[in-house]
Amino acid sequence: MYSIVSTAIVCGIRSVLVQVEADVCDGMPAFEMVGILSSEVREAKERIRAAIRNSSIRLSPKKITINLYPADIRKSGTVFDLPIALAILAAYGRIPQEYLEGILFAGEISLNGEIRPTAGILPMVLAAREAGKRVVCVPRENVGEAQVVKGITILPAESLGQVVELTESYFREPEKYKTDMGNKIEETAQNTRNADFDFASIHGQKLLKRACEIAASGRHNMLMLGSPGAGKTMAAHAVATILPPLTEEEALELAKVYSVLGMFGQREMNFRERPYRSPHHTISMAGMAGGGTVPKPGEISLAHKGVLFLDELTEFKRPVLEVLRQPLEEREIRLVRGSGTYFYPADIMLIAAMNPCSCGYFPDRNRCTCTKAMIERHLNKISRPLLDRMDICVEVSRPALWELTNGRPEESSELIRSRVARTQTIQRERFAGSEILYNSQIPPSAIMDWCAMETEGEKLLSESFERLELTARGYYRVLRVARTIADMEGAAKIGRQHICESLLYRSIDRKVWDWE
Amino acid sequence: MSAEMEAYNKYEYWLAGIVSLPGRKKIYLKSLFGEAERIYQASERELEQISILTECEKEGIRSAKKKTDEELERELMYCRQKEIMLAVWQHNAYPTRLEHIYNPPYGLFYRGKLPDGGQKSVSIVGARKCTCYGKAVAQQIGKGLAAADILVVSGMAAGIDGAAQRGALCGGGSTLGVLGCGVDVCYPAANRELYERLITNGCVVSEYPPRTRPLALNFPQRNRIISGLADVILVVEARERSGSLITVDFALEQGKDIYAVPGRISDLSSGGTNRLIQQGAGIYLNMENFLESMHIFSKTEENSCKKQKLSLENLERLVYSCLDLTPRNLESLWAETGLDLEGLMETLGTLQEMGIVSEVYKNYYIRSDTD
Repeated sequence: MYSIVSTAIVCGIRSVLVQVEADVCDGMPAFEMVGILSSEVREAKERIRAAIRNSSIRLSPKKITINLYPADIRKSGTVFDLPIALAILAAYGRIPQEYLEGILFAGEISLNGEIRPTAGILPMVLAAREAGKRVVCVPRENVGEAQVVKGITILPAESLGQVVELTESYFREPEKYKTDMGNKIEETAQNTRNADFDFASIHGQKLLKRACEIAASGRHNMLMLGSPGAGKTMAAHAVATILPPLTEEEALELAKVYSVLGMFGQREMNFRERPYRSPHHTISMAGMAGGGTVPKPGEISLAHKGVLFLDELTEFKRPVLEVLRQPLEEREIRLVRGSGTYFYPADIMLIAAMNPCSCGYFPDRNRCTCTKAMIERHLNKISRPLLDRMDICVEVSRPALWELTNGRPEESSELIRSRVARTQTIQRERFAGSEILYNSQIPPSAIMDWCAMETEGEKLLSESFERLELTARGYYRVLRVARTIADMEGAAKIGRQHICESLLYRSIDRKVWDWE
Repeated sequence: MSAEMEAYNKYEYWLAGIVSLPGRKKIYLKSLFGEAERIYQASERELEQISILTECEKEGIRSAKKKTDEELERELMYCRQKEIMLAVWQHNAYPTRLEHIYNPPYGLFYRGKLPDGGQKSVSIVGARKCTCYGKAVAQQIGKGLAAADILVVSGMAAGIDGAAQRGALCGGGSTLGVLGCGVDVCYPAANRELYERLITNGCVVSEYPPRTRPLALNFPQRNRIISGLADVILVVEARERSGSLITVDFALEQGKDIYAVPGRISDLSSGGTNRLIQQGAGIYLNMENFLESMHIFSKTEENSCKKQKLSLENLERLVYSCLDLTPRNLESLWAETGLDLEGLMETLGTLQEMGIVSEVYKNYYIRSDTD
């Protein structure tokens, strides 16, 4: 007899529907599987054999053939266990074929017949909805993830035996299972944040806070220079808390990345919160960009629409930093492998921190023991092109004791977030109809249209261009940041004071300071 | 033999270039043999008879004598090509000041123009790792001395040395750099621009033959020439146990006056200079006062007064008054002036445009000079 069951496979963060066909006939007892299968899919054979037996289902020896199509895509992953088992049972006539129609099945089976959670459920459910399916049957642990998708009925799978009963009972009374759980995204929108990383807990550091607010408002990349213990890490973490929540679309895109990696649990409780990732500096290139023969997303994709914080920037391996250049421009990462080209979203706000010299105390000549050559070597670890992508650069010094202990209340992240949201609304309105969302994304060709200056400001900028020996890139960066500062005030044109402040945050343009 | 001939005598170059033989013994040998050529041709027996030479020094001469005439010729050609000159003991270009010190160099290799002996000269020495304050002071002093037509002698090193010599060049004065390597070697390499300017507008000298690498053991020895060439030694910034204090020791031995620039007692980088003052060194307060102590009365005052005449707006005056030669960061300026950030930035921008404030490090500011 012949049967067919629907399932899906994850490619990148997209998903493609796959049909599992089973044919059972008389002949020499055998179990054959075809359709370009990777080794973990071929191993499904053993799991399914044991699982069926341990679910107290006895099958007579027959020749079983399984085909997975479309046959031109390589099938990997463990989601095929459940659909293959069901297809066999249906081909044996143990489950009527009509019970399985219109349902997408996914799940890994253990030897005793239990269904185990798998990665990539969210893209699969989305693909199922696109293909017109209304019902999915996923492992119980993945139900929360599947619920993110609206308009889908979810059947929680616990064990093989239970799924057999479940399909029958769903076929008889589908209304009982119409559990559209409402919108999960709305539910968790207002979640409490970690109070340790609120701006209210950072004392003093007015300049740093101001820079953080500007960076968040215009989504500018930021570089912090300062001695150890000055509060760079804390500030970076706090920046994530002043970014307005993700839109539904953004949150879904991000959740897909986490789902593919089986890390959806990390997003479940704070679905609309901007991600904050701070990989350790020993990270490999594959860990940063994404890697593998069928590449999995890396840290830059996990930080999509949020903050990627690189502490101790100079300690990162050079190729790992260079890999950031393309995604910073294109806002997605393209990974080309033999099996095809994979795109992962990578629209990040990069925040980096570094010590001014290898001992970390540089401007303080009483403590720093580095020579000029040592400092030069230290700064040379970061390439010019990467520095060129840092819009805002700020010096962070240790706060004075009285600032830490004076107990003066500081602004909370929530208050700052509301201001950031207002500034971002101004930007969205200005850029309506274009692909740009933030000031940091204004291309050089459009900069004169969107960054109109008052005469005074223009004069100052052209003077500074000569005095500070700015490059063309540096010139545009100053303008973009000035645009954000002006937006924060609600000013239509960029004034002299905005340029002034923007010049203060310009990137480190000299390799060695004019110090000695 | 004319001076011109003597200056390009290959045997003189040979004798001056023997590193293992101290200058005073070379001078003794010269007086003994009369001509450098005679020393080159001296037999083994003649050498053996010279009792003041140690075994080690004799060995040095022997190995130097292995050079053939052609090799000496080639070296001379190299010097001519690089415009490296030699001033030997009792030659008229030889600085008279050095004739009176202990263990004078036999010959000085130099590039550029050796100053004549009539000019007053001051050695400015200090730490390589200096602060902004030290650097600014050294530069000011260099410039002030240049204005008073005083020769600035220093070691062309990073930090204080270089700053003082840049100041002197900037003020249009003459300056001389004493190197611890060959005069055709630029060390530190970062001072390339200073080195080139010294060759065209001043002079670099060294007792070591061309192509000598900057060996650490050469530097203490060259310090005796730095102090020997000057009438007064001025230490701008030095930690306790700094290399600059070696120069001071030589200077005391040679009977020169020592002056030191005082610093805050909490600054490690002024520990050595403050200690010198405690031990009785002169205190440098300002150029006028310093020149008076050297019995020079000049017209440099108007220079220093010019800055006061700058008309500053209220805000600018406020910010400017918070700054000095020690870098202040923006955060602390912000707290002290109580201005809003935009106002402060605007004012700092204006002051920088006027050239009286400069940013020495990301968001760190100091007062700076106008030319």
